[in-house]
Amino acid sequence: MSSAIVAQAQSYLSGIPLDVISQGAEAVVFLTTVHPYLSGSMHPSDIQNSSKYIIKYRPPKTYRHEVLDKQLTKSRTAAEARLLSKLYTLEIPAPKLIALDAPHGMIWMEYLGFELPNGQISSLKNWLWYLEKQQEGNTTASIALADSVKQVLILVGQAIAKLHLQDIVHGDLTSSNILLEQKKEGLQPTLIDFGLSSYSPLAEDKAVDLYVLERALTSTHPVYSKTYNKWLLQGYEETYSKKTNNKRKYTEVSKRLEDVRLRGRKRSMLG
Amino acid sequence: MPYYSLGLEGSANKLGVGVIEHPLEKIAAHNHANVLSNVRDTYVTPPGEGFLPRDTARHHRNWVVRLIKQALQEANIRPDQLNCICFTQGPGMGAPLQSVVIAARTIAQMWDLPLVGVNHCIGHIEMGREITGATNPVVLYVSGGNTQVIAYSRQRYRIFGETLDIAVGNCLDRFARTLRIPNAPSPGYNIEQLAKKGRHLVELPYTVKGMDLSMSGILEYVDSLAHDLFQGKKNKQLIRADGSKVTVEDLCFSLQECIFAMLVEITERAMAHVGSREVLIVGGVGCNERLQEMMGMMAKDRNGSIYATDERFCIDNGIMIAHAGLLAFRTGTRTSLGQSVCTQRFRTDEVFVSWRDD
Amino acid sequence: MTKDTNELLPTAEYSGPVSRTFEVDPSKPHSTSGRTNGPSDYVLAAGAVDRDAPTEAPDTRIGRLRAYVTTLQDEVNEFLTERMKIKGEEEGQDLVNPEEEEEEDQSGL
Repeated sequence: MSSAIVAQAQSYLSGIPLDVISQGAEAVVFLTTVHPYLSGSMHPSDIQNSSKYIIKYRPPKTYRHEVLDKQLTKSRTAAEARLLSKLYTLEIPAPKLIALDAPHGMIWMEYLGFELPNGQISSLKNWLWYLEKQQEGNTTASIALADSVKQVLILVGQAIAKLHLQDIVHGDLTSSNILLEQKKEGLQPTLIDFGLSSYSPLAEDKAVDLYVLERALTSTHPVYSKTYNKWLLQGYEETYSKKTNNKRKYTEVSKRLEDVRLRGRKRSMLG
Repeated sequence: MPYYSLGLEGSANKLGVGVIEHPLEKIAAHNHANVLSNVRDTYVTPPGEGFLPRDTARHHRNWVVRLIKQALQEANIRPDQLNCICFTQGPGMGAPLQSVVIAARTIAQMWDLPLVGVNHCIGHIEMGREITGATNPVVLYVSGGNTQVIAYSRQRYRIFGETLDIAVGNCLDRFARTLRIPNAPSPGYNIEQLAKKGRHLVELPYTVKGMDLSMSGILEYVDSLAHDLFQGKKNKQLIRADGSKVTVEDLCFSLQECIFAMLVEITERAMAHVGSREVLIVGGVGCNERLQEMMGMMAKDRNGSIYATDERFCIDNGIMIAHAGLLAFRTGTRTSLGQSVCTQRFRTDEVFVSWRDD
Repeated sequence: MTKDTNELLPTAEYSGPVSRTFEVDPSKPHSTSGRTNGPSDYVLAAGAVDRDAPTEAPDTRIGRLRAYVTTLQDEVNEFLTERMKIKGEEEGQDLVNPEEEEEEDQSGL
C-alpha cells in the first residue's frame, strides 16, 4: 500500500498509533489501541476487544474527479456511520460505532473477529478458504461442507433477511464482508462494510443484494458455492417465514431473484 | 517446427483475421508468441445509426475471403503450414457470427485442418496477457457489448463483477448517437475526444452495487440533459458555478468521469477481494486514455501495476482468436464440424482453461 | 474439361408442409450480385455508399459456383419470404415486416 495514504491518515490523527490491517477497495482499515475520547484506562464495557479499535479510513481517490470524490467520500462515510448506529438500535449484529469524521472519511468502530489457525482474520472468505484447503486431499471427512459451515451460512442468510426486513440493503455482500466471531454458542457471523448500503423498500434491490452475494460466492468458492448458496437462502427464508405477512414479501424477493439471474444470463449475449 | 494458427473474428462490426506463431514448449515470458499478421475491416454505418445484424453479416461475408488471403500473404504462411483454424464461437451477434463460421468451416475442409471454437472474451484476455506480460491479473473487459471484471481461479476465468444492464461501450455509443457523432473507430472514441475539452463536472447518478454496476439510469439522465441543452430548455444542472452554460463537451467529460470512476471502483474492489496487484484492461473501450490513466492511479495507490494494449489488440481482432485457439489446440481441444455451431450467449466462465495450471 | 461433366452445381431442398427442390440452370446467366443480397433499405435510405458489394465471379469452376449459389440463395430467400407471408396471413399478422423492429444491435465491439 502507498505510504502516502498512511501519512495522510496520520496527519489527521497525530499521536494515535495506527497499524494497517487491510486495504480494501475504498478504505484502509487501521488497528489502534486508543479510544478517541476515553483515557487509557477507561474502556467501555459493552465493547468487545476493548483494548483494540478499528479506524476505517476512506482516502481521497486520486483517479476520481475531486468534486465527485469529496462528495462520495463524505456521503458514504456519513451513511455508513448512521447505519451502524441504526443497526445497534435494531440489535442486528454489526460493529458498534464509536466516532465519526465524515469530511476526512474516518469512522472509529469496535474491533471484531479473531485470528484463524492460519493467522488470518476470521472473515467468512478466509474461514471457508481455510476449510476448503483442509478438504483438499481428504476424501473421508466432510470439512468444507461440515454441519458447522451449514450453521454459519444459515445464520448469514438470517442476518441478511433481518437487514432486508428493515428495508436496508447492504450493497456489497461478499464473503470478505462477513466476519465470524467466536461465541459460546458457536461461530456467529456479523455483517461489516456498510459503505454502499442504502434504504430501499423494493424487492428488486433486495434481490440484487442476494444476487451480488451469490455471484461473489460462485467466483470465490467455486467448488462448494451451490451448497453454500442453498444454505444461505434457507436461512434467509426462515427469517421471513417467522411472520405470515412477511411470507408474501419473501415470495416477491425470491421471484425477483429469479428475474435478476435470468437477466444475468441474457446479458452475456454480445461480445 | 513451431505451431501456426489462423483466427477469424466477426462477432460484431469488425471482421478480423490473424496468423500467430507459437514456438515449441510452453508459452511463457521467455518463450512468447509471434504475431505474423493481424488484418481487420470494419463495417461502416451511416452516421448516427447503429449497425444491423443483416448488413454486418453481409459485410463479413463479402470481405472474409479477401482478408484471409491478405492475412496469409502478410504472414508469409501457406495453408499447409497451419495447425488449425480458430473462429469466434460467441458471444456476439448471431448473423455476423454465422457468416464467419461458414468461412471457417469451408477453409478447414478445403485445407483438411481441425477447427477450434474460441470464446471471444477469452480471446481478449489471453491476447492481453500475452502482449503485456501480465501473469495473473484482474481483468477489466470493457467493450460495446460487455462489461465484466474477471479473475482466474481453478482453470476458469470467473466473473466477479459486471454490468446489471447495458455495457459501457454501448452506453457511450448511444450517447454519441444522441449527439449525432460517429462511433468509429472504437466505442466512445469521439466522446473521448470531446471530453478532453470538457472542464465542468455535471453531477450524474453514481450506481455501483458491490462489484456490479448499472449504467442505463445514467444514460437516460445524461440523454435528457443533452436534449434540454439542444432545445435551450432551462435546467439548473446546465449552469456552471460561474454562471456560464454547460457545453456538450462538459457532458461528455462528466459521463466519462462518472462511469470510468465506477469501473475503476469495481475493479479495485475485485483486486482487494482476490488479493491481486495486477490489472489488465481489454476490449474496445480499453483504448480510452482517460480510463487507462484513472486505472493507473488506482493501481499506484495499491502499489500495483496496470497493463493495457493499443488498438491493434484492444479492438476486436483475429489474432486474439488465433492465439487463444492455438493455446487450446495445443492442450488437445478440437471442435468437430457438428460442434461448430455459434452461440450468441457464451459466458466467459463456461470455458475450461486447459492451458493454465496455476 | 467441359462444363457439363465437371461443373459444380449446387442444389437445395426444403421439406415441410410443402416440399421443394432448388436447382440452377447453368445455361442461364448468373452473377454474384443477386436480388436479395444487397444492403438493407434502411442503410440505403440513410445515404450509405455500398463498399461491401461482393466481387464479380471470374469464369472458373469455383467462380461460377459462387454465381450459381447467389442465384440459388435468391430463390430460397424469395421462397421462404413467400412462406412467411402465407403463414402470416393464416395467423393474421405480418411476419415479413413485423411492427416491432428487430432490436437494433449494440454498436461497438
